[in-house]
Amino acid sequence: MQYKSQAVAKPYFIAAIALFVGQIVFGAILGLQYVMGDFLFPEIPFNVARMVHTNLLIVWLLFGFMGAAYYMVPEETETELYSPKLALILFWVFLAAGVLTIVGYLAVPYATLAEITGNDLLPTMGREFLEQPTITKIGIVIVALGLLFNISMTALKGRKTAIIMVMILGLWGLAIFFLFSFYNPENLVLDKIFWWWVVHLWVEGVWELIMGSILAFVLIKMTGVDREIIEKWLYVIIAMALISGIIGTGHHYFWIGTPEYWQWWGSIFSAIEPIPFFMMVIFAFNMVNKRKRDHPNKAAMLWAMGTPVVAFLGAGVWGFMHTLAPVNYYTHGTQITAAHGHLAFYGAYVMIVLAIISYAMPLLRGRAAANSKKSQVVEMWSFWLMTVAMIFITLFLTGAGILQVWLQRINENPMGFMEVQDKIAIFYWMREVAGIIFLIGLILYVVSFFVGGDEEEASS
Amino acid sequence: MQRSDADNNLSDSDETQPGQALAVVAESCFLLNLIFLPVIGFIILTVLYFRYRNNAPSLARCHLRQTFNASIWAGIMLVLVNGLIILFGGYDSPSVWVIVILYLTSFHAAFIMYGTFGLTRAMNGQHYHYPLIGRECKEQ
Repeated sequence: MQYKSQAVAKPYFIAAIALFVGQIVFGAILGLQYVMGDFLFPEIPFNVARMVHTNLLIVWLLFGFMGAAYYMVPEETETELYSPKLALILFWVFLAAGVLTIVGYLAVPYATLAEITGNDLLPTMGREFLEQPTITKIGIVIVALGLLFNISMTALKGRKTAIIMVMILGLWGLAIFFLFSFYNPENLVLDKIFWWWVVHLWVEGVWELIMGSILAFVLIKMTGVDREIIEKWLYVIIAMALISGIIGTGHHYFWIGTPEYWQWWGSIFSAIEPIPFFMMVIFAFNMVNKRKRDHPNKAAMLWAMGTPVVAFLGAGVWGFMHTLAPVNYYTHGTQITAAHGHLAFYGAYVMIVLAIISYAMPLLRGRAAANSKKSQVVEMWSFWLMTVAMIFITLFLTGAGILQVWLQRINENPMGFMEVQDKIAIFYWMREVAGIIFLIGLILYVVSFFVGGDEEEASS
Repeated sequence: MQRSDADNNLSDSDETQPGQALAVVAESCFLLNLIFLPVIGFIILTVLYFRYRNNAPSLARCHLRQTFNASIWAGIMLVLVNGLIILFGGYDSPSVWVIVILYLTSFHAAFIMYGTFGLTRAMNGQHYHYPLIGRECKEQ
């Protein structure tokens, strides 16, 4: 660790991992509820478990991004963080808001939560992924503004690299587009249009900037390749991400009451959305082939190399599979969407956050460059278990989705939704088994932080 | 202590190798055939393969051989997929979607990944042997 203030990243990373465990536990519960509808009912109803699963994902990824920003900014700008104290205060504010929100979801009915948190004054609740009480949303805005103030002030007084500019642009975008979660028009079409401005423009827009900058940072540190080469790649990748991703929002406008031209715009631009992910694969492997040193942190390298590959498969291949309007007409909102969502989120965002944690944590814990060999072996096992399990989850959900589309939407005598759910239960059982293996992989990941601590660190 | 960028230096691969440009073109044509320009990409690759397979530098020969071979495998897979569709009830049966989507997400995506890895190796002047389907490059 080159700068003392980078240490503030540590609690963010720890919180991210803890909430990740929570997310996967609720995922396993949800998976079981698909086949055993009354499992844990009425204590944890399906809708609540789903809300906790998705909200925890968003919150822990945000913790990861913030931790990454606090770690990267001082090193890139070559100066201490503007205010480490503010970063720590914001950490506790965000953690308290996040935990209280999850407890609220679990402890009281959603309608009651809306009532006691004053949703009537500024109604923002009740929409998928944006279920957080208004007061929590305000908390998120405060935390985001504090983060932006802190890192922007740091960047202003220090060296301005392309990596840090792209990251700051991504974080500003994240904060700005979140503001649309406060806009809740009565017209359902408008509501959906602007809801996607948060959801889509986050994950297929500004988050890709954050992802690209983290990947570029890790690759510079681990391969020793010249910054100029990596930054050129980064520029082209983020340009492609924005060119395709912004108008690509149109693939969400196909069937929500918008004009028909969106079927063309959405199809064409989202068909080019895999390109930045494809370029990221070429970028990452090109840099590894050009590497000027052999970094001892093999686990971090594995996460960094896995990120573009799985992101390309999940976001690129599985996304393209159902993004053209004539295909989406049949597949919209089926398990095919769930398959894409799982692999894309895992590949693009889970893996990049784990990559930066894997790279930074040994340094934050006082190591020179890497954990011991024993610890890395356990971590690499966790990588393979989680990644293979996620690919199987995706394949099983894809199978379920294909059958669902056929039985429910193409068949001459279409079946009802619940009847079809019974028919595809075998896929849900297999998905649950893969989900448990994923959980085991995650437990191993946590264990990797506690083994081999007293052993010598791995050499290159 | 933080390691400096100069630590653990490996060989510098910035120099252009003989045949590198042709190797990159071969891998690009393979990817074009799979992604943007089916058939056209393959025709260009075939012309290049038969034109340069014996008289290009070893790096280019290696990449030409890998990509041409892999393209043939991709073609065989397409024939097999169509055979499976016919075997399982024809193009109107529900199984057609299972087969097509599983083929696209598993095999086609794997070919694209091979091409991507091959392209990055070609861009760095390195040989690449496609796992499972590629013929060993003798010069490697």
